[in-house]
Amino acid sequence: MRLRDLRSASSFRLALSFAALFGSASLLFVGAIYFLTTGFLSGNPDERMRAQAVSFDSRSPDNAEAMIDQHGTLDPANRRPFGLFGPDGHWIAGNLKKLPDPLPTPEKFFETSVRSEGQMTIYRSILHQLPNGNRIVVSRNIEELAQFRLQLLDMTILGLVLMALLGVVGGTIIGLASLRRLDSVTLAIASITRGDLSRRLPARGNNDDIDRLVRVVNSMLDQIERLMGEVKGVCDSVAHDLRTPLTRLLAGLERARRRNLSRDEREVELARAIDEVQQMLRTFAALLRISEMEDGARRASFREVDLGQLVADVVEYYEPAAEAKAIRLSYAPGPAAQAPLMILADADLMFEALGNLLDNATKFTPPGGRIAVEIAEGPVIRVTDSGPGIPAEEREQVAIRFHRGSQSRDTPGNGLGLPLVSAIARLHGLELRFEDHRGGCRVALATTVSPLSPPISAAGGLKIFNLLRRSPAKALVVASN
Amino acid sequence: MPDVLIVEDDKATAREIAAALADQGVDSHHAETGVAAIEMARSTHYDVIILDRMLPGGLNGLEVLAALRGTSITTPVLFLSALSAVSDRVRGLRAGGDDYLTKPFDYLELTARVDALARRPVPAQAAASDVERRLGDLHIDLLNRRVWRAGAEIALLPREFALLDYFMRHAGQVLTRAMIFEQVWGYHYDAHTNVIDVHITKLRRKLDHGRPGTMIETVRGSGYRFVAP
Repeated sequence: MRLRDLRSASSFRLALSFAALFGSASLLFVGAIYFLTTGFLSGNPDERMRAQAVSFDSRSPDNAEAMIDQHGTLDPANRRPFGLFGPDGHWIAGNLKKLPDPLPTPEKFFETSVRSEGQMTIYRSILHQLPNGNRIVVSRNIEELAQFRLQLLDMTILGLVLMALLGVVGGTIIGLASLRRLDSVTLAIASITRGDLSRRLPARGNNDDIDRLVRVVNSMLDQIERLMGEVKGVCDSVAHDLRTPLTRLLAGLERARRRNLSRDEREVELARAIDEVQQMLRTFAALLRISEMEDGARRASFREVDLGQLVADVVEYYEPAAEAKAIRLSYAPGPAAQAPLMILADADLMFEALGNLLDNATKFTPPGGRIAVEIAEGPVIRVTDSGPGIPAEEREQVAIRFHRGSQSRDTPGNGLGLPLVSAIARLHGLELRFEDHRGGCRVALATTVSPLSPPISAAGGLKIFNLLRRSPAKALVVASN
Repeated sequence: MPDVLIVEDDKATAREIAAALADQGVDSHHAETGVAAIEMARSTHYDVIILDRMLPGGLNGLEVLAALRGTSITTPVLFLSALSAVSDRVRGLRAGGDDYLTKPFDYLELTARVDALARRPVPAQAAASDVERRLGDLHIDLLNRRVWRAGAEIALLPREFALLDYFMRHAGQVLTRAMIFEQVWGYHYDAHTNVIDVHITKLRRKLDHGRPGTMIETVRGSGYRFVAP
């Protein structure tokens, strides 16, 4: 099983093919060296031997005989044995006492091995026919050359064997290592698939290709886990947020039946029950609206809207409520909204989003406080209030459905306001942002339109901020002070 | 007594709507399919048609409306729909619907809207009171946007004036918060806050100005009614 895995492991195959490739290249290389060096080492002496043999043509037989004898005495180790033979093949002079048998072709080099004193000696020789019919054999001992050749051959073979061995062993090791790595990744994925979403793929930290892949997958898992957590949180919250009022409703109804209530008391109980049910229906409606926002289909209802006018309308709508709480609500259109600030938007949704922000600001700002609304370049709509603000560590959470901030436990609400604002903002290519503000809360709806990722595709024929064509930088901001 | 045609495939919903209307003294008839609705609307006069956007059997709400308008039946139509998207509402209104309500709806909201549609003045009548309105000792000048009560002028903000004008045009009718918000502010969303109440309280205070009784009655659970003092 393991071996079959290994055979099909890509790294093992890669190692083997590299070994084969490298081996063939080395073989060619060594072969070339072999032929070139042996040719070089034997080439020059051959020519000298031929010239020596031919030089006897012009000598008299006696002179030749004497020279060969002299040569023989000068070469007792038989490194370059010569031999002079008569036309019938009988020995005349020289260290070589016998013509080779069978007779080699004249003027061609040949190699013979001679066994003497238990040692094999290899000679390279040439047979030359002298003009007077005699034959001369000029030889030289090529023992060293032969040994060099043999050694070269041995080393080549050894090298090839080693290379093959290294290839297989190395490939196996690399293959096994990468198999182990992949196995650990596969195992992690399998356990994630079984539902352990907190598991992450093991990274080695060396930033190699698999590590990079693992990191990307891990960040995807983070995102999935976060979303799953959010969905689970939403489910839990839906269940909880509905069970609580249902329990209250049931208790109230049972109490009403149990006791002998007067007409007026019954009326009060009924009104309370209706209130509970309406609150639940509102929660559902808000949830549905958020998911409706998220599918983006609502952009079909986008029209050109004067943002300055819209913000003024929202502020005007909330003014009496703020006033009733002795909160000063002010609106500064800012230079950005002096002229009509036309944007492509769904006016009803934008009113709802801004209304939600102002509603929150009014709710959380203590009596006597201030709420300031402004439109800054961008456009950024900023609402600043003098309420308790949202702690920095909670800001991420407030856009999550049903999250109730630590400050808002005692305030009525279903925890769906800011998520809805956030969803509406996203639909408009805006972003709900919490900005630092001393002594209060500052919320902004700021454009996130970037040239790389336009929130609304040109294919849809819609441009979110029409004004982008006219003036590149404007923003809408809502801030509570 | 107004007569309403309810076009709704769900029998239980239709029954509830009929009951809610009956409580307000409104008669109703029920059609389950678009084809039946068209036949009934052609043979009988109705004051309002409540039309479900999604109907079984071929014709949907928009198509029924198109068929009715095609045969010059101008009866006001209130759309009921589970589709809450603004684009759906806009499409419904553009197709000739007169009002649009998303399920699940409040029955008081429904009856208030049906009432408003049933009483809708014919255009010729509306034109007659383009310059001024009078109700009891209240008198408003639409051209100069001024208001007097028993001869004493009352200073109103522009929005308060628009609110009063809307109340006077629908004097005696129950007006829900959503209807007031849509008509006076011109935006469309279910604003479940008491913010609008603050506006109305302010207007009421200015109008009543210490007199006993009020011109703007609160209707419990649904909204307001403007009455002659």
